[in-house]
Amino acid sequence: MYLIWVTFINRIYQPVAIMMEQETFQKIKMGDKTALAEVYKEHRDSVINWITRKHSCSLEEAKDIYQDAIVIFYNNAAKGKISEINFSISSYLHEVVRRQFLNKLKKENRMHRGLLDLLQAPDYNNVDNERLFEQKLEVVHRAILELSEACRQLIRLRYFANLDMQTICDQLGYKNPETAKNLKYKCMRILRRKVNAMTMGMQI
Amino acid sequence: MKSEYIDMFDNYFSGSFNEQEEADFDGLLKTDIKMAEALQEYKDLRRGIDYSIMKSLKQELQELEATLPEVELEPEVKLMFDKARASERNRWWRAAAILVLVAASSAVLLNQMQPSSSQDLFSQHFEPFENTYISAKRGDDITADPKVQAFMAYDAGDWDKAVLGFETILGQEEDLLVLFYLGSAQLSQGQSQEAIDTFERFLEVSEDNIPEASWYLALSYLKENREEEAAKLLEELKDSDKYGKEAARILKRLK
Repeated sequence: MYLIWVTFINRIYQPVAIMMEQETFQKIKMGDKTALAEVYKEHRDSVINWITRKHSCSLEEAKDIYQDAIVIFYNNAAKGKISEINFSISSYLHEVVRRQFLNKLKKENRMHRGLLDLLQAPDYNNVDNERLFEQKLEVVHRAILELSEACRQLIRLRYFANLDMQTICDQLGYKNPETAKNLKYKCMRILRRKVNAMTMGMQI
Repeated sequence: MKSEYIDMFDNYFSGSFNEQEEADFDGLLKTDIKMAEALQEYKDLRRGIDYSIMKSLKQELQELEATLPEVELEPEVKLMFDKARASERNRWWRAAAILVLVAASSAVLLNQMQPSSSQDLFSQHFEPFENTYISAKRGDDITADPKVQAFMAYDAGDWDKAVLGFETILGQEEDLLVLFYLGSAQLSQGQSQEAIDTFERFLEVSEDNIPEASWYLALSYLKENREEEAAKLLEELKDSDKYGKEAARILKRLK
């Protein structure tokens, strides 16, 4: 009787859980950070326990690796790099962590390079190139932090989440896609100017 | 970057070009250098944008983590951490035990090798001579000056570096001040015989009677257990303002 009851509950629960997860995933794909924070909290204990057990690392290290995995998940969801067939967030996060450790083994002393690896650095074999690459990224990061909130939002939706101008227009409440487009040109111009100024400052 | 470039690159990277448009784009890139440069700049910006968003997100996650209750550890993981902690504690205990042993045996050794009284007197009275050179030069462009660098090493207590620096300077020029500090650095380094040579040379070269040099030479003699020579110098210093009291005290102990 118990087994029948469990099977019955599972049959109802599983599709609902899958549906809910799909919904969450769709939100994250659109860049919803609240949904991402919920995912973080939901899987945190189980994944961190798994990391420490499997890789015998400290709790702090495990948290760091878990955070990287969440960032990678957010990036790959936005870039459409995750196949939605038979997708489960939990399995995906485990897989990302597994790969991070594999990378760590491959590239000794290059722990937590997961984020940089995603950006397809030109030539990692050369330490100078790598440093230069990281410096360039840091400059853009600092320049973005100096942009207005409106520019940051637009750039995130257009270039990180790869949304088209119509969707961005709907999300940010602009009059029409043309207005959003003009703002995009303006923001990119400002960003470019700031990056150039900062790079010049670096050279001086 | 021109607006049309931005649109063109956006379309190219979002994959909305058809085969013909893609071929046209590639063809243009080969001939239009400005466009190729703009594309490189665009790619750098896009990478930077991704990096920035991921970096900011990581910071947000760290902030979120700080607000959450501690991770609930599974019994197996808890046991693993407890074991690691216990072994860490054991390590400390072992280290502490070794330290006690070393201290105990050192005490025995020290008892057996009681230092001579002149060595004791040296330790009680010796202090490296205060560096007044750097503060005198402060404010100038001092970084490239080898003299300043040597004095900075002296200030930092890096005696090896200071001695090397002073010796190099003295190889190029005669400088009484540097010669004096070389002696002080050598004595701080524990090279009392070298310090004796240096201070003797200093007293030979300098025309005036410099009590500081006599004092440090006396201390160097004490370090070398050359009590008679030390006493002779201390007798001379007994009436000096700066070292008189200390010299008298040492002389009393030497008798």
